[in-house]
Amino acid sequence: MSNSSTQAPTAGQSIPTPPDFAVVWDDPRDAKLTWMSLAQFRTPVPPLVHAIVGAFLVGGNAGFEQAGLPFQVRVARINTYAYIGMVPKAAPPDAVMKAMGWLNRTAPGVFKMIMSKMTAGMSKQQLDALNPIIERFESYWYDELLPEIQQHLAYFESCDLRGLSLDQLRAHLAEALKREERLGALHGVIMPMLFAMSEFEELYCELFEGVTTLDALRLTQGFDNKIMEGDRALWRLSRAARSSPEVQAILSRHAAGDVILALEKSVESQPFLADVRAWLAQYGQRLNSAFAFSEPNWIEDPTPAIQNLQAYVAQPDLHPEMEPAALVAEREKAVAEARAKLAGYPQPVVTRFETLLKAAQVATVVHEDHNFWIDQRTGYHIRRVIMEFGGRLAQTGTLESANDVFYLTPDELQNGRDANLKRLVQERKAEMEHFSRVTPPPMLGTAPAFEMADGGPMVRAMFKGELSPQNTGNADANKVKGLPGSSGVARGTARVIHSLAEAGKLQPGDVLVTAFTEPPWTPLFATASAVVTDSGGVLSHSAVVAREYRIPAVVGTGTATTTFHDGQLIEVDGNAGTVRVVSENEASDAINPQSAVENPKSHEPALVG
Amino acid sequence: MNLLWLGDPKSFDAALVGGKAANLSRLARMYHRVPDGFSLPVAVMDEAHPLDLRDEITCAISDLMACHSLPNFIAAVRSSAVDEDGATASFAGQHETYLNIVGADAIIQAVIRCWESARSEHALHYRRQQRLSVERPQIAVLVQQLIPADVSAVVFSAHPVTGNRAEVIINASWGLGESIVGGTVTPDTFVVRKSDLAITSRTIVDKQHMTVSTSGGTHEVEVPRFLRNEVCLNDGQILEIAELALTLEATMEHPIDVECAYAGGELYLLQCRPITTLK
Repeated sequence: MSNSSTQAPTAGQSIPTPPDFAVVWDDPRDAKLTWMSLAQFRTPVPPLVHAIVGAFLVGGNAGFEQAGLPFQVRVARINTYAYIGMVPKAAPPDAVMKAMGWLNRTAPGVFKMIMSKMTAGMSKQQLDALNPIIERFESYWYDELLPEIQQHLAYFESCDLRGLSLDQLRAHLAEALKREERLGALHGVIMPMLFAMSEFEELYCELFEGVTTLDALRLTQGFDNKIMEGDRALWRLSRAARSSPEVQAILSRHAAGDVILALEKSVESQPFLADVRAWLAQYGQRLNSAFAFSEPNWIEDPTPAIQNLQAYVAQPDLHPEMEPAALVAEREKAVAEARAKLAGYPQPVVTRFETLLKAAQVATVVHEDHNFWIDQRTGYHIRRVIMEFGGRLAQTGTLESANDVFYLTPDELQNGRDANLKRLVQERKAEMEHFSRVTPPPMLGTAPAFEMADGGPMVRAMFKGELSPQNTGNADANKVKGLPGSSGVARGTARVIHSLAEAGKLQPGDVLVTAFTEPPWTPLFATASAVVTDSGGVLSHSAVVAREYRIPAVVGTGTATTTFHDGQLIEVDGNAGTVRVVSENEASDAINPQSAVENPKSHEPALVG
Repeated sequence: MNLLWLGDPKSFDAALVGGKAANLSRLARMYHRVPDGFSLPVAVMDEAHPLDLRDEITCAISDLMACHSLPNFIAAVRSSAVDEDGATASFAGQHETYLNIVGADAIIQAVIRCWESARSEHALHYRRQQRLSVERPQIAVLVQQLIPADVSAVVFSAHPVTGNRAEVIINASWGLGESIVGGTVTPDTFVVRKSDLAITSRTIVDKQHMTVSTSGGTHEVEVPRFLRNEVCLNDGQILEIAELALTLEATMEHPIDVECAYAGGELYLLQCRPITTLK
């Protein structure tokens, strides 16, 4: 039984753990729950980062509550890895669960009937809860949620961290964590955006014959959002750079990490440098990943921004995707066609269509904007508070370095005896070091007794977002099947990128292959010819942004990052949702003319430039 | 002058405009919301060349658009036989109907097809069965505004099977009436007691199909899931329909079946006939 951990867990049974990942449950009842490894955390998570993530995700339960979903989530740090557990709100007694599991095996027909009754009930509950919200979704976001988010950000901005005493800073950290939980709740109650997009997509596909999900989402594209706004501003900076030989030379000759220093030394580059700093002040308040609190933000270390600038500068002037006119024209045509077809339909159908269209259009913007305001900016501020506090502790000699603060829990930072902290940090580092060599099982605890075939419209929406199934059964060495995320077919050199630190290897025309993407990555989409991800659905961030960039995307493949490797020439079919190897070692020259031939973006010379 | 307006007393004469149009003309006098339109009397079929009618039809369409402030005139073109809709033989469904017809040329095409259908083997067979003349079927054509129905209903002022005359039975479903009349959808059923206008039963079912206007015609499509199990008439509408049926029954002095529709919140009367099968 050497590979017990790789076997599929038996429904309703305790999930076996590998010998190097024995789990000791704080509360034995936790062993009865199903715990999933979080896609964002495939490496050990320091305690303080885990605490912030926990506050944020537990705050997000407000979203499940609002949607009428019968569960809440909890977050646990198990053997230094972050796991998320689903806790049923009113758990049926064990006996009922067991009976349902038994029915599923012995009388699938009866089981199916009971399930469909349950689904109908859950669907109604979710629709009743969420329809009133999406009917006023624009006002809900702009008048109710966004002002409060901006109030929290204003609070962080107004705080003079340097001027606070150590005790004041300690209190400020506690306040920041409280606000993080509240921002998690605000983040949770934005989830109707997925519902709006999903309901619209489903209605459109029901109403019109022979259409796909991507056809439906075309009616929601081309509205400006804060993420695209930032990407476009960065693109404009690259145009400014191309108009200055001095700046262009610096960008092309220096490693990304050295560019700022070189610009500072160049008199001619000062106006450009001022523009870069202005861009960073506006759009650089972001971490490399939503929860990468322990890594520098872009203002501290603008290397990721500079890497994008360098890739942009290498591209000639025209980049149509940076102007949404074509997207808008395509959208308006599709909307007009749909309205014409519905002109002879009963009023309730037309009204529902218009309500969902409006909500889905706003939701597509909110899908990105909420990330800009909450995930990026809040993350930026939380890190600043922590780093200031860590810096003080290092100054007083309580910690070896400011970064060590991440190895302590909020409770230890509030109440711990200073003398113990260094030792705790050493223990935690050793523990994380040990577990960094272990592969965390994707699931812990007890396998679900049965799976809901359909958990209702909100659950379907969530699966179209981030929760796409991880196990897609892809086993072929040369191709993967995933979900169509953005239409079009493109060929390019595969670049498997695990973190933004590796983003520098993406050259114009390459295919970005990654586990999943987050908003800080989106400037890469202007360089990539296509995007392939392991996780995420058609409403995930990667897919939404790929559509705005009009590059093909295949998402939720489960295995793309392990199937493909750097340097292969691969073909991404965003319509079929497939990716295949065209040749093993194509395109050692980074810019591959062939990619432009098959690429719907081939009208732009950028790819062959 | 070939056309006769609906509601014009000359149109009360079934020998001129056929039973259906004559009937609707009388109804238009009783109830203000009968979709407006005109008839091409039977004589036109034999005497006028359809293309000569073009100018007249074009004129009539402009008049209707101006009179009812319509942005365009979407027509239902139906045949109206001189001997149909009598108290003994209902010609329900025996002659052609063309829906969602726009423009004078398309209307003329539909008119010609109505005339041709009167001579079809199918129609003649029915006439033989009903012991009606098959020598010279006389057909008028009715051109009427097509009501873009949100909900259509078929109403019986007496139970068509049991003959119970104490209740009004309403069958209603989404879209144009063809899916109910054609039996391709199981409609919601409402029962209203005549004595006190109480709604005594509501049966809301999974309404899977509906007929909608599509370019140049109509099409039966699936009802989107969100709407299938929704009740298609509210209580106020159920009572409004029941009251209309009672009024019509009293005027016609016979149990009747009624086709009607809601569009934009207004109730339109589309057809009213005596129930011919009642024991």
